Amino acid sequence: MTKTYEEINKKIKDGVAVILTAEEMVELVENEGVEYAAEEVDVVTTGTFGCMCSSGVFFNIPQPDPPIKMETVVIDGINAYHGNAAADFYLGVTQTSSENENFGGGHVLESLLRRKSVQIEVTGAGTDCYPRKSLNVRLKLKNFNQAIMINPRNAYQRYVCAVNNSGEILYTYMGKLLPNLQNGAYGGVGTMSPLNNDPTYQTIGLGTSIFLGGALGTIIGPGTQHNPRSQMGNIMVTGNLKEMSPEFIAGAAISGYGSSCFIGLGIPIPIINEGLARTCGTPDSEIFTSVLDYSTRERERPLLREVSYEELKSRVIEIEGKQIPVSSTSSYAKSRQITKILKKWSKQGVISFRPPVLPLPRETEFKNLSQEDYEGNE
Amino acid sequence: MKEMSSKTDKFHRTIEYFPEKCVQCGWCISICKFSALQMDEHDYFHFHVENCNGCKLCLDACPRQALN
Repeated sequence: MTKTYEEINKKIKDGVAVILTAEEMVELVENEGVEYAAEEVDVVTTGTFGCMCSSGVFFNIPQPDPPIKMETVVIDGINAYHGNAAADFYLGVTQTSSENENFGGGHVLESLLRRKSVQIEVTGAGTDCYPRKSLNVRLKLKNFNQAIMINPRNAYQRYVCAVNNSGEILYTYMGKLLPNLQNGAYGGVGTMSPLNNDPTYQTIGLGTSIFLGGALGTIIGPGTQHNPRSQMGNIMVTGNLKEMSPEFIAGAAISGYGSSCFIGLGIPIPIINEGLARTCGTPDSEIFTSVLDYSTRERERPLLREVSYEELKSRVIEIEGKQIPVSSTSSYAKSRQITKILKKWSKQGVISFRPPVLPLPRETEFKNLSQEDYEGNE
Repeated sequence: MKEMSSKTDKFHRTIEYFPEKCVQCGWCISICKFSALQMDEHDYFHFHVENCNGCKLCLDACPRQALN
């Protein structure tokens, strides 16, 4: 059984398309089988809501008179990157305030989405074409010419479960890990995780329409550290911050690590063949990830065991005979909400389904720095 | 948001929950040894103040500063 994108778009237009959330698809496949689901279902919607550190926004501020070429930019106490044209800067979500460790770039984005004004302090080079040497203004989101979110690495295909087998508390990007395997934290939302539903990227790539922060976004291509061979694929995405919602873009401060940002992201997957019906219908009991000991200082963390998302969702896993409480670093409630919103958007025709201009690569090489690199190659 | 509490535990230590900051992520859940922090069957967060022992292990586990 195969379906074309045109057939799916026509069924949506005619109001007869069958669109299910990922959780509904798992239930359907369990009850009716893959063949039936492949025939009946046109689109499956996915979603995730978790801290995605590799995220940020390009801003353009209206030029004052006389105009300015930015040399330093600080926005609500957070340093922004300004190595672009005169009035462009990039604010990354992990850039943390030097005065308040619980405040960073993600919080500034959330403030703007909550319609608050932010303080912008700029120093300028003072050139013949851009004479102004300083600017200090308060701006709201509506005052910026552009606020374009471009996230270099979002929505990992799967993520690990972190535990701590040492004798001391660890503060990590996976949260607070109590000593002696007293707790664990895992990433991803199993059946709902976007890339897991199309693990060979048949329908995902450059130009794919997605849910990003409450608005319609687009996949630009593979994200940094895209590593499909280890099921660690990810995507680079873009969207208009001005159309987003603070419900799905929320600043985060991770104790002992720094600031970040919760990002809501979902991908609607057209079921163009039986293989996609199978992967979209895969239950949590068949999706696995690794439990790693984060107490080592080495790059390669010891693998303690493989665990299914079904076991993780039970909130207790067993390691070395010990029952360990675990919790997700992604919100299942919000992820589910995203799958439902995408279902509504798909039904309403907000999303037009089309093949990716360029699918995500499946064989990208992923390297770590080796001893050879340290010694340097001529 | 299903439930919110701002109560004092039996040792008169106060833990405040700010529901408007909570994003239902669950980072705090596995930290609590007394079942004071729980997710329900719909994955919504609940603070059961009656179970809270006031150990405060959860306070710096929340990335949204929703527990204070």
